[in-house]
Amino acid sequence: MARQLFTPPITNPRFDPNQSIRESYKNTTNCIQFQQISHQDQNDNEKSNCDGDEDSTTSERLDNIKSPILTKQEIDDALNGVTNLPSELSKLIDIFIDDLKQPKYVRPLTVLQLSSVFQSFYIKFDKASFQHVSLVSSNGNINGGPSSFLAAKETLSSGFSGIFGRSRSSSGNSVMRPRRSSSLFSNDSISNSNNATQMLSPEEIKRQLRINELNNMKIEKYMEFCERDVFKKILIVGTSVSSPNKMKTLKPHQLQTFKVGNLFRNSVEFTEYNKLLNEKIFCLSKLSTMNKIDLIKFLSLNNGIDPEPKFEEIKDILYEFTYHSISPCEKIKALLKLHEIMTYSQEMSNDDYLSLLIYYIITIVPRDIFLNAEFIRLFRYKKKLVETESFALTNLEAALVFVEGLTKDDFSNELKDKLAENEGKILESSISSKVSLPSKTTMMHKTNGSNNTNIGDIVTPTIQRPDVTRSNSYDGFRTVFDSSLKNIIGKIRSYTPPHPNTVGGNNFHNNTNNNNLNIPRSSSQLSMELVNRDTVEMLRDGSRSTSSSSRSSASLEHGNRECTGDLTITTSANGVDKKEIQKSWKKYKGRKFEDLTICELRDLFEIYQKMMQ
Amino acid sequence: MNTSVTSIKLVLLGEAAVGKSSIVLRFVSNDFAENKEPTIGAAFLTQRVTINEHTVKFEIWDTAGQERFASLAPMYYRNAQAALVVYDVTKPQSFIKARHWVKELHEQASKDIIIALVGNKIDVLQDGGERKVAKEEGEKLAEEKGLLFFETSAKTGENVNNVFLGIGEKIPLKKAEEQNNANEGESNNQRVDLNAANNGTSANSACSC
Repeated sequence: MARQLFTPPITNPRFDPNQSIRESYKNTTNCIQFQQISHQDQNDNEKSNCDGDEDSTTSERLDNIKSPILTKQEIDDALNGVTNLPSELSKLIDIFIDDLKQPKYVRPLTVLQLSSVFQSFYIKFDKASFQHVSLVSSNGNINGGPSSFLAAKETLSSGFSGIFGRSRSSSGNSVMRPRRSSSLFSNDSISNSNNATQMLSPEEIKRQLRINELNNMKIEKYMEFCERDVFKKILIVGTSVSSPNKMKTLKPHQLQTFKVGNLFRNSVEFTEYNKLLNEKIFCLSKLSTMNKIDLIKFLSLNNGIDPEPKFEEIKDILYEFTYHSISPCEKIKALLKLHEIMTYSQEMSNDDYLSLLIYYIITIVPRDIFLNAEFIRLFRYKKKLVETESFALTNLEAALVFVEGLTKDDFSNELKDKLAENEGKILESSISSKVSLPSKTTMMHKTNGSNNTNIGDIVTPTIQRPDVTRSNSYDGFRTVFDSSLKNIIGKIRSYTPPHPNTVGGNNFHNNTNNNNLNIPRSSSQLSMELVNRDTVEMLRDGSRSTSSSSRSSASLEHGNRECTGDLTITTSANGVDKKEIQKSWKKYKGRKFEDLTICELRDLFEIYQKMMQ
Repeated sequence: MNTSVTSIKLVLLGEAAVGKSSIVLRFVSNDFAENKEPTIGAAFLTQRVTINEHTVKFEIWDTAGQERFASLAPMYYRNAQAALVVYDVTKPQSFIKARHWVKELHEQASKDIIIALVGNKIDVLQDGGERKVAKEEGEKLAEEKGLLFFETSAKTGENVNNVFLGIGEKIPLKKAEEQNNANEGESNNQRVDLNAANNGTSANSACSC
């Protein structure tokens, strides 16, 4: 009965040739069966098995491969040579980054939209890696074996099981398309196999399984390199759409520090939440240093675990996590390392981990740790953010949620009297009561539509339309004003004739209406900064006055934004004194939008009006 | 033999010191071998079990049992396909807390999450300790709320494997048809979508509660 279930007739489109082959050789090919350890249970006669070893057809994470069909030596031989991406794949990253730098959107993308663009690229890259590896192995470059038609065909069809193996670890959403990267290949293999299924010898099967394993490992490695190279490149080229004539050159030390905050600057909720959390952590740290609170007691850490001996080690790894790592992949590795260091014994439960994590966060005060955690959640390839990685990240997020929710009521009454005014203010309420993160809004929408999400979800962002609705939870006025500025900018933009060399207006508008980012057409569709896009375009068109106004407006909107294309106005706009405008313009240089008063905003609006005249 | 592996996220809930981690450590104790997949102490563990010719991989997420961390639990049980709500048969308070967890899971977790109610530390009774939560109470709660129910001893290992086997048998494993039709979203080929596979293999469930 089971065999019927798992091997449907060959005419059935669901027929899996690999499964069929395994079934056919079931009694003779021990190499592809599970190594099982029988569990004996006192109260149950039902036979059950736990395998202590790995499934031979299932790919595992690179760092914990223990395939029975591959020796460590073989794995090392195959993977040690892989230190960089092949040029074909590397080219994809170049195209993606170039595309990111293209001005395409009328408004800057929020971090959630940006994340979606990245996730789509990862899927595309995963597919390309699979194709590359399949091609290489079918040419006999990997195992040196015969590259006969059968071998080639089998390699292709082996993609089916290989993909199952690889997608085993999948999790998270793919909004755009099915996540499984090689679905096209698997379908091909099914249809091809229906026409000709030749019996393979056990040796051949084994060889194919080995190729699958190695290919999967290579793809895993390529994906790691992909993340690394994408963000390294972003570090070099910056996160702004810059003028083509001006490439910002960074000093060596700048190339080592990637500010994740740059990716979040168009999502004020995240930056605001992060700022408040930084303040709160610092405040708690100060209280702890001044012995106003006893963290060890507060967190019940006194049950045999002394956090002090590992303090320096943890500090290093937390700094590595927040400051010295670039890609999400590196950051998650640092986070796993952090958990590893915190492991005092294999029996430690999560009570201990969570308490320790909170303790170290408060005492070490790693800056922007929230943004770093969100950076991983949003920019790590979803398919890989599973198991230990997912758990470690959830733990960190839980620790941060705990900290943000701490108020003075959580501490003793004595502390309340000792608090300074600003400390009392910081510990007055939870941060989540002041700032709602957009992801939660998205989550609520999603919950309404399906039952898959729950409270506390940070869901894969969905781009419904280019201007994702902002949460208006914490600063209604600002959001309204912000939106109105954006509308103004949008209107200016709509009067701008599209430049023939830029991405076609039609494409853009199609895209905005599509609710989708069509990756095959373009590896991404992003404008990191409206400001420079407009400026550059308008300079080309000679519409300088409009350019300046849009820039000034956008500067208001993102006051803390780093402007790379530092273009200046060279003509007067309809009789308005250029110098006067520039002078009043500069008055707000370096100011943050959230710090502006209503009077100042009015002033700015007047400047804007003058420029428009 | 079907060699596909279904991953199941299983979350542990229960008051502090009821033996959540001990149950899991007992469950995976046979495999503390060299080739073990990476774990995070007893906070995150994996274990594979072959049930009815199908391999199920449990990804076991521990939650902090301290009351102060209770509000963080949703972050851990989101997208979980199964939950173990553990209480100590010698601590009535832990049973009350277990009730709360069951209620919360039904309200906030995945719609068809499989919940096993586990009364732990029955070895204490054999050593002369006093039972404070009657077996019937646990059974009644399980019946009312549609839970699996087991009494276990993490110390002796009694009934521990049955808990996981019971859950594994109740999980609607994806059939090939469903796999081919799997669309985007949380579910994918090797992860169980409880909402999509409601009619899976419920007939297989043979819990001995």
